[in-house]
Amino acid sequence: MASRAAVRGWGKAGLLDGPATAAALELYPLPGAVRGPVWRGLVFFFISAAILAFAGGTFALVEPRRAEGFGRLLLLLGAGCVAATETIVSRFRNLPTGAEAACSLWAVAFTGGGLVVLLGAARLPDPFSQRLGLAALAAVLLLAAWRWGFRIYAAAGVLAALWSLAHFPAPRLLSAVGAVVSAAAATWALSRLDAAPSHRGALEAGRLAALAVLYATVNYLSVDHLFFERQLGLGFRAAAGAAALPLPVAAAASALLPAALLGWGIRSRERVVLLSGAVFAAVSLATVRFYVHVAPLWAVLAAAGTTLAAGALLLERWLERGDGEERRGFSAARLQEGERRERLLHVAAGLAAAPGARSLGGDDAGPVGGGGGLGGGGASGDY
Amino acid sequence: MSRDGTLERTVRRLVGAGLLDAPAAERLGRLSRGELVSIRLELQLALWAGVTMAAGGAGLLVKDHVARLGPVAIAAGLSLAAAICFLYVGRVAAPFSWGRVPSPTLAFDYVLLLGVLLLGTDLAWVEAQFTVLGPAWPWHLLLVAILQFALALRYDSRAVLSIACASFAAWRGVAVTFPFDRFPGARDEAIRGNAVAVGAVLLLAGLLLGRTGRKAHFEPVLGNLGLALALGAAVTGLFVGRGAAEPLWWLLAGAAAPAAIVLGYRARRAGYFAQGVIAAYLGLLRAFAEVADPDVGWLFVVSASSLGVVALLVSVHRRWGSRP
Repeated sequence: MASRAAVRGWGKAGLLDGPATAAALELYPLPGAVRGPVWRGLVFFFISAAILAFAGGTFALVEPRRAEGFGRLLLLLGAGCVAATETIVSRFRNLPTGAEAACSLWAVAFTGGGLVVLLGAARLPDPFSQRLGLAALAAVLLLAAWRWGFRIYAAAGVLAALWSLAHFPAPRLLSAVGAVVSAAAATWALSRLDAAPSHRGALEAGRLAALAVLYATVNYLSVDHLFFERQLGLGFRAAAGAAALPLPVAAAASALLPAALLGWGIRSRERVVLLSGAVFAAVSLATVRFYVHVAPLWAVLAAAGTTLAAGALLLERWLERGDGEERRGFSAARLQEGERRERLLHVAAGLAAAPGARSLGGDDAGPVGGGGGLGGGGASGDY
Repeated sequence: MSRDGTLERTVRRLVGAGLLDAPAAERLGRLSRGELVSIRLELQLALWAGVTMAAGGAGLLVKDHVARLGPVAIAAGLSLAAAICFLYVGRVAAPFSWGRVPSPTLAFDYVLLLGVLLLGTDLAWVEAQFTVLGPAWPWHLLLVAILQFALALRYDSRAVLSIACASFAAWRGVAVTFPFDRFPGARDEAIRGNAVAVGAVLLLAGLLLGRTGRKAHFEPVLGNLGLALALGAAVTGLFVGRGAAEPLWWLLAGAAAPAAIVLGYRARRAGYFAQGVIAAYLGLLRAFAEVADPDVGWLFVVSASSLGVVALLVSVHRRWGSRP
């Protein structure tokens, strides 16, 4: 399926001509009827409705009065969903269908929830019970990611594992070390292992989650507000005035980490790393604005937005003027995907900028009466 | 860099089958080994984020500095900014065609979007400050929608088309995001009625464009949005509507949902079909709740019926896939 999708993408991008695309697609015949995203969404919706309704009916019938009963029932439902997922994945050749996504989601939710409830019922002392609960949840999610290869399970599993580490003494340091190890392991796996496309996506998502946690441990605002030490409600309260990381170090790291990620992304041509560096750089700049009011918010937004758009345009031009419309392995041309994502992005951009509706009925006094609004695009406001 | 083993094997197989010449094999080989990467999507996201932030800044400027700058200065500033955007768009745009027109540059759609946003803000500001239309002020939204629709047609922009649809709906008091930010309550019959009317107009417009082959690629945007509004209003009317209008919602949902399913199946529009199926299912659940009091057994009925719908979908999809 992935090869077929790649061939179609290359054909749409113009890297293969029509006859070559058609001939290449014959090398990868469809194993059966393939369902598009709308069909898969529909199947996901109804399978989820079936599972949830069944679970609700079962709970209403059994009426478990104690937490242990509740937890065991959740585990039983989880086991059923695991069996369903395995059956679908092993018997259907024309994946994805949407059904395996729904069954796996509730398998993870019920199994993880059941383990957490049972651990809570065991009345283990805090914070041991919290550590164990999060570790159990992380194990379920990471196992699901390994077995079925969904991005969301990998990302959530990494986050749960690192959050579990944050319940130990020196939470910030442990989280940072854990994030570095996770990101390194994912990077190694991506470069060395011949993983299926779904598992490659899961590894990318896990790495992104790890990088996000790493950035959160060094971000100036996070250090200043003792986010890891206090906000997570972990009980390991830092001594008054003490910081887990000196603020000047946090300030330097807030600038250096995004730059390092950008450099790594450019050197290795890893889009996810590049994107994370860009996003973290934006967050660092926003953090600077939080502390230093260099200009009114409207000016900051207008200047930043204009700079971002202009920067993207200049970068596109620079890449297009390179030899073969690329420079250093980067191109702005459509190389693999068709227009579908771009079309969806355009429609989403338009709807996101949708103007607010006017009020019907009594307060049609209009703008003079204050019933006006600015049209969308983040410019929402009344006047 | 990360290598994609699946892509590498695919390229080798195509080379072995003689389907790739040397330059294409070299380029695709680099692509599969991670030596060549497209950042087109990232550039578009940056453009969209930049446009949104710039428009947001303009909105805040207007909101926070009304008294200081004065209405004329603000209107002039917004007009100038919009004019610059349209100047760029006018210079680089391809000639008009009723068919698809590819964007001449990556920035084209987003500069056009920014221009349309600024123009909309400007017109709203002028109306608010100078009350050009007086008591008929809501009509400015219709005028804006018509203008946006014309721009969408001229420059073949789905983003502007989406805004035009939203402006048209806003004129009738319907926010495109209304199912999400506020669930319509029992007293929102007028909004629901308007949503049905707006949805019907959009759907018909989409079908007309599709039939006549003029900007036929706009049909999915218009059709799906129109159907979502109309069916959404009908279904919420079923669940929360009260009073004299309640039978109308039953009638409308009972007619519109099957019609959407048939239309979607015949026209091979998965979006129409999906919306019709969901609306029909929710309508049937509502009807069942009228007949039988919801209790524990009801949940098992819902579960079984959902699985039944999945079986039906699988069967329909098989037939769908086997049709020429």
